[in-house]
Amino acid sequence: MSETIHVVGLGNVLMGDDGVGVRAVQRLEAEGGLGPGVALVDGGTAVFDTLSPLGGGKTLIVIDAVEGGGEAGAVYRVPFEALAGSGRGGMALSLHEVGLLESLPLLELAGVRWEEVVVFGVEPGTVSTGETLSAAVEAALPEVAKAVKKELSG
Amino acid sequence: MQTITIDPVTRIEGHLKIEAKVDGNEVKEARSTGTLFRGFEMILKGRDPRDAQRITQRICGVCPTGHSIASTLNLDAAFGIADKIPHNGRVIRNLILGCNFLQSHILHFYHLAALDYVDVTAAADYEGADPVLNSLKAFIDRGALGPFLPRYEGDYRLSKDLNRAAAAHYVQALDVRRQCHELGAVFGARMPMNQSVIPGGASETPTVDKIAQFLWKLEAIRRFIDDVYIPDVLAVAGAYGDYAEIGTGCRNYLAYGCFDIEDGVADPLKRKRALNAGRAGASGEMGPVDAGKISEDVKHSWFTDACASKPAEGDTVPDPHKAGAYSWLKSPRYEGEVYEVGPLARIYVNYLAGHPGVKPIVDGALGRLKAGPEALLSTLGRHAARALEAKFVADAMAAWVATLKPGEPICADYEIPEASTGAGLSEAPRGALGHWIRIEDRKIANYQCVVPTTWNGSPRDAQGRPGPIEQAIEGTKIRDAANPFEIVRIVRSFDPCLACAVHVVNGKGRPLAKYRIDV
Repeated sequence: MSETIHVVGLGNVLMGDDGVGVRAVQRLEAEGGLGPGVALVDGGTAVFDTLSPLGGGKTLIVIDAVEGGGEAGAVYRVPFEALAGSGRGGMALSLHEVGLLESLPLLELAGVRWEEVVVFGVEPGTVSTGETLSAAVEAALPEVAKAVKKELSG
Repeated sequence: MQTITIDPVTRIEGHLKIEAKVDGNEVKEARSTGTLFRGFEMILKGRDPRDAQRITQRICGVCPTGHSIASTLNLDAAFGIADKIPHNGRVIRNLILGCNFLQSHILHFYHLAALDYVDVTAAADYEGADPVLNSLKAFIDRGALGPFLPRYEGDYRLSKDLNRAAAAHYVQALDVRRQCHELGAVFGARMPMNQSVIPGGASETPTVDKIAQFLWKLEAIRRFIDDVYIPDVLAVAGAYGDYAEIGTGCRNYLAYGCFDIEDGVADPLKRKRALNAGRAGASGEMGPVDAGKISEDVKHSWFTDACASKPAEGDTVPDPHKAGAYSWLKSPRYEGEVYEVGPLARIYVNYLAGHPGVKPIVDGALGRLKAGPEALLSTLGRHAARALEAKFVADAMAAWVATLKPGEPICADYEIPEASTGAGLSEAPRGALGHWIRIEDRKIANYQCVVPTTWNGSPRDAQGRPGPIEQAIEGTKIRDAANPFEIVRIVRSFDPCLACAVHVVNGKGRPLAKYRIDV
């Protein structure tokens, strides 16, 4: 298994706070990236198709909007196991809608796996057509960037 | 009268609700409701026109390539350079779009549609040595039935061996899709949202190395299409022959065509394309396509009545409480008539025209099924057309890539005009895709997209005529209203793709407070 660490931002940048994962990856990139051996990936909305070519590795860090019951801008660090099973139940909707929770088991079936998967989630405020993040979520970006860096240094 | 409501229809792209009123086991009335509002056009107003290419690709994660091509053809037209695209740029665009067709068709058959016909759980008691089936068995043993259940029960007809073979191909196809994306990235720079398709041509230079790499990667995918995908579709067709007789629908077929194979012609509908533009009716009558005859009706759509117009002048003003409306989709019509779009429309239009690449492939498959061309115009016919189109496109791509000329131009120069208009008509895997732009002060003043599923999934128009999916369901006999296989098989055969909108990870029912962090 490769030693590679992947940091993937997911979301639709045209849908307000849904795009927070992509914005966080852009911010990390602007801050100079995360060093050798760590790949930063803008995954957009194509979750399965983004993760599949990465081929697996040591650690997958996903940054995404996560509804966890907190106020807009709340930041979560959730091990994937804690989220697994909370999705819509496999392909209940579609491959479009195959989000993270459905993609990882399917990828495992196709032989693509990571030793550890951690989700950094940001509670969304506004998810509707628009390219900007709400103020609360925008304000959480530096926090998320810092948390991801801390995760990698620890 | 009983009403069957399927909301949402699963294993399609996006959110679609189907309501069917059934009387005496027959669907008397069907309503197709797009439940998501798509307002991406509003984001484009006031922006640099070139942003359209980047932004429209982000509408969705499954067919961004179709949007990149339609928006770029649209900008070529608006910038006045549609007849100046160099050979290399044109070919690279075709190769990138082709990769998207291949991955989309394979995805649709194996991961969205096949589960209606193939019983994947046949792998649960597998005791052989096939590693793929064993990993699938382990997957099922762990209780990971998510992708396969819930489902309707009572009409799985393949033998256990065929079910197992198809289940193994389901897993194999996950990997083939990855290969398709990697193939697309050779000239697209990244996939699925490519960087390389730009006004004037393409940005990725062809080299001998890239051409060789492309051919080598393509070969594996061609083998999968010839040896696995097409045989699987024919096996399903053999066991579900009654589906070659139902789900026909409006009996009018429309294709804008795609994959330009001619340089120097400004109007995309007049260009020679690998799959040509055209219209056809179920009785074999044919006609040309004139973009000026396309209009959008909003009588039963949640948009203000003023939004009914030609796409070039179209507007997107939501009216969610409009009386009589039942869908977020508009109703595109050609000369006021209902038309189906998609692989079947493309293949049928070109088949009738005697296309030298399409006709032999279609005749060969029909011969193997001992069926006539009328069998194409059905639920199964849509799957067959998709698979045969994948073969046609993959074979053509191998020829196209060999015509690239390293060292020669890939892109034409342009200036953004002060004011202009454009139209970009091409095809996404799911069907005819049109983009329209009006530029004022070098900025986007108006932008409209008419996407394939707007045609196929459209609600009734002002004349009360149902859309293609609605018509395909109406009149169908339902064997078991508790397991309405017929309806979902018909709907999925269209490969509907509604707006991709939200990808929020939903931890609902599971408060995540204990995972909160403060940095």
